[in-house]
Amino acid sequence: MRKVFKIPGNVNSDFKGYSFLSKLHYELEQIAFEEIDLDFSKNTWFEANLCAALGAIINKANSNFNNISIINLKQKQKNIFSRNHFLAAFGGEKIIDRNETTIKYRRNKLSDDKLIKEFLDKELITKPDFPKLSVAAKGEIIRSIFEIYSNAVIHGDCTEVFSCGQFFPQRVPSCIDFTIVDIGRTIPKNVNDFLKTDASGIDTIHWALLENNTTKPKEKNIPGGLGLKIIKDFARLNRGKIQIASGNGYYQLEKGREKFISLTHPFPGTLVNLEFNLNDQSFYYLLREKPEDIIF
Amino acid sequence: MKTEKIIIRLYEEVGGDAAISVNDGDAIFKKIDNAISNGLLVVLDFQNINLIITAFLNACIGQLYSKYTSAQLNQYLELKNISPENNHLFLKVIKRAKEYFENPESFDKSAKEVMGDD
Repeated sequence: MRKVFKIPGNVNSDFKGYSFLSKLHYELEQIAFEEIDLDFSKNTWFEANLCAALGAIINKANSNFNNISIINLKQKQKNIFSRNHFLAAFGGEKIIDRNETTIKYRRNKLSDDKLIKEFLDKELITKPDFPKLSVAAKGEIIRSIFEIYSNAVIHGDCTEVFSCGQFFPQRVPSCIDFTIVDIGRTIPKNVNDFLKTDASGIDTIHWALLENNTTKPKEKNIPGGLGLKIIKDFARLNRGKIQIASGNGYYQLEKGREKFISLTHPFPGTLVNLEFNLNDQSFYYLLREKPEDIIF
Repeated sequence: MKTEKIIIRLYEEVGGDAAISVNDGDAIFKKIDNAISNGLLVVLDFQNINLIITAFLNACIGQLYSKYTSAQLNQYLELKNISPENNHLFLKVIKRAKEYFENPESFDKSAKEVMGDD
C-alpha cells in the first residue's frame, strides 16, 4: 500500500516551514522499499525556493529505494514548479518562465562551479529589478551565494548541492530568496568533532557564525572563518535575511536581529536561505572606510 | 638575462572572471610559492576578475603566511588591478591569516571558551 504524506496548507521560508521539512525528512528516513506520495491537496502556498530543500529530501529518501511521487498539486503550484523545473526533475514537465520570477531548481555537481556561475549570471540578469541594483550590490549577492556553495564543499564534505530561487516582485521591498541545501555533514557535527564537544545545535551554529571560527583542519594550513561573517555584514547592509537550518540548530538574521532556535527534528545537512532586498541602491564599498592600500 | 619577475594572471589561471574555487586558489598558491622560493618577484594580476570569494583568497593568499613573513611578501609579491569592491576582502583575509599563523593556539583556546568548555 502506498504511504501518503500530507503537505500542510502553507510552507514558507520560516522556522515553521523548516521544522516541517525537517520532520518530513525524519519520517521518510524511516522508510525503505516503498511507494510514497507527497500529497499537496491541502497545500495552497509552498514558497518555490524551498524546492531546493524538498528536492534534497526526496533524493535522500529515494536513496533508500523508495519511489516518491508528488500528487494533487493545485494548478498554481504546478505552474510554478514547472516553470522552475522542479517537477521536471521528478518526471513532470517543464515550461518556459515567461514571468521571469524563478531561479531554476538545480542539483549541482560542485565540481561544476564555473557552470554554476554562468547559470546564476544568466538567471539573475533576467529578473525584474535585479539589473537596477548597483554593481556593488549585484557583486555582493553573487559572492554571498558562492560563499555558501564553497562552505558546502569545504565543510559539508559532499559532492552536490541543491539550489532554487524565487523572485518576489510584489513584496515591499521586492526581493529574491535563494536556497542552497547540502545533505552533507551538519554544522553541529563539524563543530563538535572539531572542538571535541557535545554542544547543542544552537551553540554550534553560534560558534560557527563568529568571525574567524572555522573547522578547517589546521594541518591544511589554509585559514578560514570569514565567509559567513561577510554574508552577515552584507545582509545587514542590504536589509536582507539569512536563515540556516543544520542538524538541530536554526539561525535567522532579519532586520538586524538574530534568532537561534532548536529544531525538534534535525535537518539532514545544511540549508541556507538568503533573502536579498532588491530595492537597494547602496554602493557598499563607499560605506566602508576608504579603500586602503594592501600591505602584507 | 634571467627572469626576475613573473606575472600570474588570474583570469587565465581560473579560466574566467570568477575566482571561486579553492582548488584554483591552492594551485595558484603553489605557483607563487614556487616562484618566491626561487627568488622571483611575483605580480598577481586580478584584471577582469569580477567575483572573488574568501575561500579562494584564503587558499591563494592566506596560505602564504604559513611559509612567509609579511616582510617577505611585501618584498616579493605585488597585487595588481584589485577592484575597490573587493579591497576589503583582501584586507580581511590578510589580517585573518596573520592572526591565524602567528598564534594558532589562541584560536583553539577562544573556541573552547565560547562553547563554555574551557
